[in-house]
Amino acid sequence: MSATARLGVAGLLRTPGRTLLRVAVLAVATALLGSMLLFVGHSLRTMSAGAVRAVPLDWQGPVGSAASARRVAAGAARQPGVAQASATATAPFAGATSQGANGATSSSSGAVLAVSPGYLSGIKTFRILHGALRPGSVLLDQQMAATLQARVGGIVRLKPSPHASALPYRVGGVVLVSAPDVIFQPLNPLLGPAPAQPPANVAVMGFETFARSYAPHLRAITGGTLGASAQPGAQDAVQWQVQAQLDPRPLTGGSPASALTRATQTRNRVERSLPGQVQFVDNLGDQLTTAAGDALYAQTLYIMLAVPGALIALGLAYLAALGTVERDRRDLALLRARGASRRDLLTLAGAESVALGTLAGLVGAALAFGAVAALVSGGVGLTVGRALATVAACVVLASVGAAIARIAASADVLRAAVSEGRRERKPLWQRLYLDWLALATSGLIYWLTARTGFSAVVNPDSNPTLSLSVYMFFAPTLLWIGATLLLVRLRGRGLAWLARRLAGERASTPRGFLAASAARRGAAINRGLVLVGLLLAFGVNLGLFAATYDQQANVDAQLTLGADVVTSAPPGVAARAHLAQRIGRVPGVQATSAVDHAYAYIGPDLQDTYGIDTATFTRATTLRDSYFLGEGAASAIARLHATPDGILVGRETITDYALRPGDLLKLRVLDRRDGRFRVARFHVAGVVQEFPSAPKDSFMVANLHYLEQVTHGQGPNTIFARASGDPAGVARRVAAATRADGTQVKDIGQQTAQTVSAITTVDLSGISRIEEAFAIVLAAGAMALFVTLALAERRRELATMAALGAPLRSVGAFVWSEAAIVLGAGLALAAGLGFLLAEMLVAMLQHVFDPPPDALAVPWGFLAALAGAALAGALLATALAARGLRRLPLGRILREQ
Amino acid sequence: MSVLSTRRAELAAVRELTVAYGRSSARVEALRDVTLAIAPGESVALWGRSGSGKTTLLHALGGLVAPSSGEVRWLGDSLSSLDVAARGRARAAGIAYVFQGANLLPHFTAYENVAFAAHHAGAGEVHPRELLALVGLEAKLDFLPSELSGGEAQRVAIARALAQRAELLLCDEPTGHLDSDTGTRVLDLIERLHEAYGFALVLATHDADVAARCARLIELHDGRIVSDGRPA
Repeated sequence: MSATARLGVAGLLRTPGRTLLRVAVLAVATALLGSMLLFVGHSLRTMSAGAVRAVPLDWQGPVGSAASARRVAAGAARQPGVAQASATATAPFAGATSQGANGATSSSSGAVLAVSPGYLSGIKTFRILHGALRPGSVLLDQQMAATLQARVGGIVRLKPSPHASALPYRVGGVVLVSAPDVIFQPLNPLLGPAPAQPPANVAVMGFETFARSYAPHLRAITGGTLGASAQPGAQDAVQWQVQAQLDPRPLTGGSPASALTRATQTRNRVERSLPGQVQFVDNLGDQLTTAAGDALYAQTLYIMLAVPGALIALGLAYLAALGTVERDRRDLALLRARGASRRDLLTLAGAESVALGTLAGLVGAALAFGAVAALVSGGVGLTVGRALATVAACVVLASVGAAIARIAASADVLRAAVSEGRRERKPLWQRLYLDWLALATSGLIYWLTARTGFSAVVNPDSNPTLSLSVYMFFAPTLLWIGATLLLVRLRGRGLAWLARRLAGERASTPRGFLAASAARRGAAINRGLVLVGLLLAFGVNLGLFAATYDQQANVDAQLTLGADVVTSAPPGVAARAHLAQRIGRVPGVQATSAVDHAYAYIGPDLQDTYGIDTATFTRATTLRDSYFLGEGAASAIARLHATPDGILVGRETITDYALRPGDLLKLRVLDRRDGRFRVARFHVAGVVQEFPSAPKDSFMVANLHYLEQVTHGQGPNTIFARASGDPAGVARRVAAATRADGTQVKDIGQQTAQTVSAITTVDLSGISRIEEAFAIVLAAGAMALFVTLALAERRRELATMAALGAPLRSVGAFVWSEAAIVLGAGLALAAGLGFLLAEMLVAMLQHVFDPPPDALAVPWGFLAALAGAALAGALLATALAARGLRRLPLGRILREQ
Repeated sequence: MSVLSTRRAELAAVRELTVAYGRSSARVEALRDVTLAIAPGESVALWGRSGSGKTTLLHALGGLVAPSSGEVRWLGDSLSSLDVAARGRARAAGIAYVFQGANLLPHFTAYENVAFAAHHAGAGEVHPRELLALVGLEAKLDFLPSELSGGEAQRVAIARALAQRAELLLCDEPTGHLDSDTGTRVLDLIERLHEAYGFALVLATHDADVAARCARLIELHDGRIVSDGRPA
């Protein structure tokens, strides 16, 4: 270690109090960044894992024959990274019949899935509920089995085409097909994935059974006929294919983008190893592409929320470094007198920074680990490697932060040391008016995006994926930058002007002395104001945004799920077992309402149709006026109630069919007695665009009683419940009370997590909690630091006042009055800037939420805690300062030159 | 202006005063068993080389440093046994300093520096403008310390001391930062005001010529008084 470096470290040891303060501030700043790194890394991994998990079937490669399917599957399965490759096929059937005890029953058309042995070991497109797949047998989808009233061991007959004869198969069991839209999608590798409307009935049989007994009755789709079969639902031939699933482990350790790269490399390798034999439809790649886009959005959002906080925390480190600037000045003067070069001075700063940074980085990393463990539910999947990487990152960040703060704080000293006599000029950014430029550009971008209705959110088909133009984030970014630079430029001139007015021409009273002092310390006060105000603005922005985000996620979840707690029951069970009444008696349940979810055709369109009990519905869930067009929720429900055969219809349907309220509407509803669709008469009672549990647009809402009457249904199949307490706890109790009835219970908490991750893939709660906690700690610390620094800077001045006989209370007033100015002005600045920033961010996310937020949600508790923390920090530091003033070594201070 | 309400034989005094800085091996005794008394209106020079204890003795007389042993008395009462606030009140009531570097309050104008001292001395009738005029700075009432020359700053410090209606003016090397001409003018001013106002003056200096201006000269060496009498 050079002598200069040793001097730097020795300087730190000579003033342990100030060194500890600098380490503490740097450690908190580093901890914020460290916890962000941990959280964002974890979020990206979670996104990758979620995207990989969400794909039931990674690849589907169309081939021309059964033999090709077997050969390609064997070849693909040998490739590293491929967990399973299976020869499969899909084909249509025109109808099915079953001979039961009550005579023959039939079902409409459907599709056959043929799978090889061991298919289910790696591919989870269906689940066997009971029975097993044996040669010569078929497994029936739950609904088909119910329609045909088929039993295991019985015989079903499948007609491959309308003119073919029915083929008999023994029923081997019942399955639940979880991804029919993917399995039966038309396969065209050039077009990519195109999930299709799933078939109404599905039968699963063994690949060899299919190849031997079923496929010969249909033609096969070959390369030349791919285009013809590429229409969803248009499959009329056998689609031989290879289905493959990748090993998820290598894909889930990094970001979605890296997972996409790895998955694409694997696909290319497999296709190259089987030249000309197969090209896959890459469902996984498609999902990961979406996830990578979402990850970019999430990262941008995290950066927008986190980076200002970290930069402000670094600003606090600068403030802490200012506390030692006088000592630095003396040290540098001494070094210069002894002929030290610029390089020596920088070495001194570097040695100090590395020493401080190492210590602060280690403490910061420990704080970051503690913060994520305490504030992120479920942790962040910390491994030894990730922990070491975080520690290293924290040490580097802290060292860089310490160096920046040290050099910025000592800039004048260093500048004087290396280029004495240089004329003081305004910084370049001030001469170029970059602050005003940034603010104007921010406003322009915001105006442009607001003018276009924030349509930069690409979501044309209500697909729950999001693609957000990142350039929109420039508006809040530039607002941050512009506001900060403008505050620096103003140097507290506004406050100084006010203080001068208060002080009068020549101060001669206690209030006048305080005001005169404050007026001439505008730059110093402004330094505190910039940091405290921006920090509080960061907190306000964060709190408002997170609260609005949470509120909308909750509204969104309720709209998606239907109510706080939703219980689904098998057909007939709800009415037979009086589920609505029983659930209504479960502790914590405030009200219940039974709903029947059915389907009806309007023209060729099949739409979800909900039968509701208008008397109880609004007690069990919430309807917003914005869900209806032309009238409010209460009026729409009252009209439906007054019209027994009334039906609320979506806007799109109203437009497409030129309907008006009161018009007769003939729908084909599913008659539950025989599974056939029959015409039923309804009258349009209103226009609805959103409804609890309904998909967007294509749905209808009718009276439960009338719907049951025309469908001959067995009663409602869903119970909505409003919880008076914790929905998760209520859901657990409801599940326990109705488990014997075969119910499925979901609560809004689960749905919130699902909806948020489905729509935005961003779980903000973890990052919000971390940042809110840091904002509160930093707010208290910033005020305390400002007071401490003011005391350190004005030591000699305050000692002189005491030597003149000024009472300590009067001397202390010079400290706390400035703290009060900074706190008051900081809170005002935070309220304005924080609100503007949150407004911008939320406005940009209008299309993320369904429905969009009407106004910002205000987290009063957090905001009070934030302001309270700043006040507490100021009070504590002022109390300590008063104590410090009593102990001020007047003699020693006044001797210092 | 009559600033002396009482005249006693002993205005301020120190008895067997020892002031030490640091602890154990780093302990340095700045003053050792010093005993002296200052009479009202007296003019005393504390003379000695750098490190002899002059500044510490000045600070002890005004209660800025606490003695390690011994006693400091002010107007017949023990100053050293008082707490920080009471010592401050005592200074406000009659002990004023003129420091080597003036030590003006940097964010106050010349006028406000004087007004601040007057306010805390309870000297409501004192007019800062008149005091500044007295030291020749009427034209610089609204100048900040950073806008004043060294001599001007010292003159503001003297006006500030007058605003405190000082009975005891403690000057610590008042010309230390000034060129000789300015220093002489400042010393002349102090002398003139001392005669006009009758406060006791204790002036610490290492300059024998400056010390010779006072009626009494106390020589300090290594924290001890080595002589006390009239200047030669």
